[in-house]
Amino acid sequence: MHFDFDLDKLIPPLQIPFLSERPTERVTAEDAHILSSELLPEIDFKQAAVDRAVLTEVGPEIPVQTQRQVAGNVINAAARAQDYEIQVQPQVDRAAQEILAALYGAYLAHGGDPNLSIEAFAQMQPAQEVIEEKHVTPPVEWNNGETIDLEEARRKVLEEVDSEDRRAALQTNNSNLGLFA
Amino acid sequence: MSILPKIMPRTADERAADFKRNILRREAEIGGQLFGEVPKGHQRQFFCLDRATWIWHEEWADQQGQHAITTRYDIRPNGIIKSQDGQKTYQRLSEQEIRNFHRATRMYTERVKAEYQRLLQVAKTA
Repeated sequence: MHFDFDLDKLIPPLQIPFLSERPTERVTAEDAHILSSELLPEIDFKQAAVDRAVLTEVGPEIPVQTQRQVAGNVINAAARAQDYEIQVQPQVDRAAQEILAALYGAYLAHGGDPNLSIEAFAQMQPAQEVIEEKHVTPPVEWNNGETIDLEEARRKVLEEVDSEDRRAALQTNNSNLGLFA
Repeated sequence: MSILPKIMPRTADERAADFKRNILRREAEIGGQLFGEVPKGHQRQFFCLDRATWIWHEEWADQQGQHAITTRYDIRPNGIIKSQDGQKTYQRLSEQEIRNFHRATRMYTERVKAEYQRLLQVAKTA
């Protein structure tokens, strides 16, 4: 069982038609991050560059042209890496350099510190908070505007409904769904 | 048996365990509906087990008998991998799978949140 079917044929298009036409001419830094971190995680150099671009509040948006260039380079590098593994290291390195240059340009264009050299930019450590799984398991914006994950949302629902009268309300309503045995 | 809960009230921990199990079941139903019509005779579930684990489970019967496939998606800092039916062999997702998977998890979260809101609304009518 896998996800290699065409979701667009089954469900309405969502807001992330990545690498395809989109209503705005910009893509989010998160898109760039997802692409980079999940398509080609082996290239740590590029990963660090992308994460750094995201983290330094380049965005939250990176110009679409830059992003497309990044995407194309990553995909090409990934294909070569998969085909030839480490034998294509020079090509992958070149792709990573192109990606870095594009991201560094985006960083500066968005008000990044001009005193930070491209070498220093590249060597910044990827920040764990950017590559955490929360980018795959999306957060939930709760009623008070707080952003929480799904597990926390479940706990909050339980807290809010776990009183005798509220359980009774659920149990007498067909919305109960057997939540309380 | 139905009188037991009145004589022996369930503890908060037991209620929480029941709740989590049942809300996951409900989420799995919602998730199973994200991918279009489920073929007749199939049962499909897709849900977020925890923040780093997603499960796809599908069961169906045909002339060869009963079938079930469970695919586990592990979200790791350096990418998403999947394994099927408890095997210890892991496979990276393809580019298209990653994009589709990510979109599915977003849809899932939106719909599950809407379901939570609905439940809270009902509960607050008490």
